[in-house]
Amino acid sequence: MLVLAGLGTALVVLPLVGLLTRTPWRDLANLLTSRIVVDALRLSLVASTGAAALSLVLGVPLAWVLARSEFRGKALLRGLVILPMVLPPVVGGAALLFAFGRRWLIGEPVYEATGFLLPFSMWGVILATTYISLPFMVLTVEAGLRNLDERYEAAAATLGASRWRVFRRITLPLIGSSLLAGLVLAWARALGEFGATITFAGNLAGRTQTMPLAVFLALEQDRGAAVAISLVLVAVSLTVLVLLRERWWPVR
Amino acid sequence: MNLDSHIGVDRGENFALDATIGIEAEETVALLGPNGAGKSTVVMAIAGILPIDRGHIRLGDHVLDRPDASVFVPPAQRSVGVVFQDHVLFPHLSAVDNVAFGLESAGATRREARRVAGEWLERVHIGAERNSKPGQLSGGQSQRVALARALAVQPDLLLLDEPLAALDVATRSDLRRLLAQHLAGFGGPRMLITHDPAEAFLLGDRVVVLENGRVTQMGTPDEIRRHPVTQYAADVAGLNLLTGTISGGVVDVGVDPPIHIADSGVSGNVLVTIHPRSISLHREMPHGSPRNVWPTTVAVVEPLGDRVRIQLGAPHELTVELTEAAVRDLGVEPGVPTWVAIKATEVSVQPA
Repeated sequence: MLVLAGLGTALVVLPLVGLLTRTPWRDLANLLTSRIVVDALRLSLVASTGAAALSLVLGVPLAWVLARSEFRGKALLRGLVILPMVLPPVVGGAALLFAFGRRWLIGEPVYEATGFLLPFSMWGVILATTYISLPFMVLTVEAGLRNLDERYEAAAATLGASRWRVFRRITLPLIGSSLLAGLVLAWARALGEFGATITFAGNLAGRTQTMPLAVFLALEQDRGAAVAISLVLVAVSLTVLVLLRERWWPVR
Repeated sequence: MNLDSHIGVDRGENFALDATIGIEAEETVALLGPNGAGKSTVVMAIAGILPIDRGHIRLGDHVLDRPDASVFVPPAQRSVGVVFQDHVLFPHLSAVDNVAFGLESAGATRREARRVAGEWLERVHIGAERNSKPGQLSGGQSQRVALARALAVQPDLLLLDEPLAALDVATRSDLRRLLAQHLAGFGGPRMLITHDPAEAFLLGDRVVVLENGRVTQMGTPDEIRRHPVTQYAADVAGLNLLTGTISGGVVDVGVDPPIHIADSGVSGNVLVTIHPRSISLHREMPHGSPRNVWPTTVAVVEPLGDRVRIQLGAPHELTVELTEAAVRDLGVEPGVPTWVAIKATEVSVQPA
């Protein structure tokens, strides 16, 4: 048992060690402040925060519908919501392109009317990462809602509270830890998103090039820069996970 | 304002509730039944948490639920106050905010709601805990908050679902007195759900017995107690109850002889319970250990299932339950003199 646990630990630690041994420590400061890295970091933080926020706004109502109502096709709806979790992100990105691209389903009329184009823009990055992150939010919040004793909401209703008031004053506060967990998961997933983003939004430095995309590009051209960016990603992710650990997973 | 209801609810293949229950204004109906009888389903139906499948629920002039006329009033518009089993206080709100919640829902400002909520907490003697969270309250304290929360919105009807079930004995008698006082002060129909016959008899003006989704008997506590019509009612409700004052292990119940008890830790006014099956009858004066022995006559003999319930005459007019064989052996029939014997350990007392 302990041997296997040791192997498991090795599996998660060794890549980090590998990363550290290849880190060009002398040039690190220069690399980290280079235009490409700063732009990618800014874009990544904006996009993953935007995706987490959008997942919250869209995901909580979806979770509520899935947890609290019965209707035909509910299993199908849940399947569709979870699909981006299992689908190769590249496929998701391509599907997004076929829906929102300039010549496609929704993209064309919107472009004709407003000149607004989602793909290859920062909004496209946010849309693609939200598409991938949303299931994490929905599943987490749905589980939170299912674990919530429905009698709290029933009691609030008998006290004359409207459905909105019950949701706002009772349901939301009581699933607070699930909301936070959903946010962290969605945010973390969005931060690492690669496939759907590069397919739907492209890899334009300063506009749609997030950290993972920058790493991918840099691996071909400048290994040192790739390692430096990777290091930043690791540092940011680990910091967030450690800061939120006590609220996220129930360790006591 | 009165409650008029015929509640039909289908739940799965094995359970259907079909109960007609009416409650007058200022009347407390105790709904008594075993676990799984459908008592909580009745609460949920009247509160509007569970729509009924058949029948109707009417409160005063308002039809609250009537599936055949497609009428269903959601719980928030019903004005039905509920004290839930296990209280169901909102865990993230303080005691005063729990009580203020309903007042705010009705449109009071936060400040006003908290002021009135504070008054209600005082009325149930828990004002000192106004800022405590439910997790910090004892069972009895949180029950008081739950009562204040239900009463504060001044509902038209009050439902209490097993309000004393989760409490220890000492707390229970305190809270029962508090409940009795607040029930009496509440002007609408009141329903108390319980599986404890003593609670039903003490707090109910009328008792409705619910078994397996059906009303099997309704009547005054005395009628249910003396003439239970089902085995369940006989087992749990067909009890001998006496009230009296205790001193030195002896309860003065108004007529002689006084009742000897084994438990001397109680004092003051008490409720004495003696199960009909723990009383024995004898042709001759029994010798030996029983502390309570007196002569009487058999008044009424009624068979119930495979047992026989026997009403005794003066002085205490107790009910005794014997097997048919024992009745034959003893030659018990109306008018026959007999000796009563009850062990002190078979007499239970609780503060009244």
